[in-house]
Amino acid sequence: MLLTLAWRNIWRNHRRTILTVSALTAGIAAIVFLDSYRESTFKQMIGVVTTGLVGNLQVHGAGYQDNPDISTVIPNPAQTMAKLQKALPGAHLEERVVGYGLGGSARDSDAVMILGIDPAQQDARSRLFKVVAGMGLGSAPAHRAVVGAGLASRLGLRPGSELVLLGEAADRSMANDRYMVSGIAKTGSGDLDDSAVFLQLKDAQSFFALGGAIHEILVRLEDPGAASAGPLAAARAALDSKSLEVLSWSQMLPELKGMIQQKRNGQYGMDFVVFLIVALGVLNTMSMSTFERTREFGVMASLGTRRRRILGLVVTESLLQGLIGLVIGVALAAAVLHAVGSIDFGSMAGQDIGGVRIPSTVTLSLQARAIGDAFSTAFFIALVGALWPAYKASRLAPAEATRVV
Amino acid sequence: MAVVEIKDVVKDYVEDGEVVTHALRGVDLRIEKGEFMAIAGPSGSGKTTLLNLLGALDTPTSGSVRIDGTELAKMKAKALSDLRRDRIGFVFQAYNLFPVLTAAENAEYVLELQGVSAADRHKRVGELFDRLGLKDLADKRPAKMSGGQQQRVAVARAIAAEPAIVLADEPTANLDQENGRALMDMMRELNRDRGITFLFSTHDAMVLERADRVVHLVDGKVATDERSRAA
Repeated sequence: MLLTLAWRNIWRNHRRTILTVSALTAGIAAIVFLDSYRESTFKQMIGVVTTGLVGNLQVHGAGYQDNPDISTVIPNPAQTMAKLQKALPGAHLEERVVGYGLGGSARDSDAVMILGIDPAQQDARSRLFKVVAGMGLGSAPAHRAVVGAGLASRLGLRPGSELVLLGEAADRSMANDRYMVSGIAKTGSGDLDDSAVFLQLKDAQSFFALGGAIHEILVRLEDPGAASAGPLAAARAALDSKSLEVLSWSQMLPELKGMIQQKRNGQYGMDFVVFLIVALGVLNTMSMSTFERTREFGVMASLGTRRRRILGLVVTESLLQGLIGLVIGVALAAAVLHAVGSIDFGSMAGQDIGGVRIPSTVTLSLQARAIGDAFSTAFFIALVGALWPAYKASRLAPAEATRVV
Repeated sequence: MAVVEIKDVVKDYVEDGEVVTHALRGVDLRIEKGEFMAIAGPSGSGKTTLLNLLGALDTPTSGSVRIDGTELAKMKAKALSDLRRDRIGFVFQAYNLFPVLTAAENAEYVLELQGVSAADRHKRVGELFDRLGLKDLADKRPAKMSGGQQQRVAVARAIAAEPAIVLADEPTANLDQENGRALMDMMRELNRDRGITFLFSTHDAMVLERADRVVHLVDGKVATDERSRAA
């Protein structure tokens, strides 16, 4: 009966309830839209990270993240891969060799990042690069290279050009070799476009004198945007922590994670302002509503209604309005997100934030985090707006309250 | 055992630390089960104050109030609420039905507070409404009922949980003679058939005529306590 009473009570004054719910709806819709816009952008940026160079998780030789030395390796990749696959069923694994050196063409030379990959391990989840001219690496090690678009432009490389690489091998000897450029590629990262040279894994192992060792195993989860904490713990539990380290993308790109957190904190600030404005509106409504019903609360108390129940009734009335505002607000935000569809970043596109390229367009969609934020905001608005009037109503002296006209 | 027993009850109203009204000045009263009695007196004589004390809605400045043998002075707010819910029925001058509930839901309200199941509540209130001739009003909200109908429903609400005593504050004051008589007839019938104890505060001569016992208050004191010959 409490719920029935609460529901009917909020419709005693239709106009006031509609105004209150409208304020709640507008506030919730604003929060959901802005949160979804922000989270859609982050999701796409994180997608670039987790489907690109970094992946969801990476396994290295111990100490590699702090000091990425060419000789810090995973000595038995096959064994480590098998353990990882068992710990993370459904995850996609990729082996990598990573090193640095000098790349030279007939025209110029520049510092390069040399990435050895196995093309056979690149599946639909891998979007390391997109070949924009020429071909990829093919399936066999044949001294071919795919070069980042920025680097190719600076060195004047085209498909078919010769690229000379120089570097330090794992045995500290001088590494050098010639490769034919098979393709020019674009990645999700501006830095990578300006410096990356992709080789076949075996070519890179040979170049850096690694034998069968590699520098990292990349883990891509089934959902690129999935939280990393669970898989991270599972991978760490499966591997020897003395010889290997496992890191999540957020640990490898703390600047990106920091930026995301900073933006979220900014949004929380805005949410709080909305919260405050709407909560004051709800407080006003609930104060008026309870003041008008002083005699009724007195009658309730006279009939033996406990204070806690009267408090609960007023809070429930406010929560019901919050719930209506939440449902309509989320629906409204979803409709606006659907209508807008995507946002073109225009001049900002192509810039990097935290080492990740801003996508040219962001497809907007309703985000779970936004709904969660809206839910907690609506709940606390309704609660904060109702608590004082509810407390006052529950503390009314019945003998006096029943005589209020 | 008396349903209500008050001894040497004093009630002073205080404002800013000073007594502004001596509402009751040492009242003794004993009400037995099944009585049908009225408290009369001019305005300001202390009728409402006495009713509030008997209904556990207020506490005396001094003296003792016992309902069903339970001393109210030492009871906490929660226990007083439970006492009102389980042992006391109220009928107010202005009816005071909950406007968003139907007549039947109003009558079920106290039963719901007591934790009676929905099915049991419907059954008990259905039977009560049948008996009191309120069946046609069961699904109506107060705004759709006349004053007389609302007050009859208020009586149904007061007795639905079978309290030890029903306190009615000027129950006929807002009713015309015909509705007032009908209401009093209904309460008298409940008193005779079910042994429910009724206590009215009233100015209404018609109510006073029908009461078995009339206590007159003057200036916060019991001036007379008369029983009718019929009682």
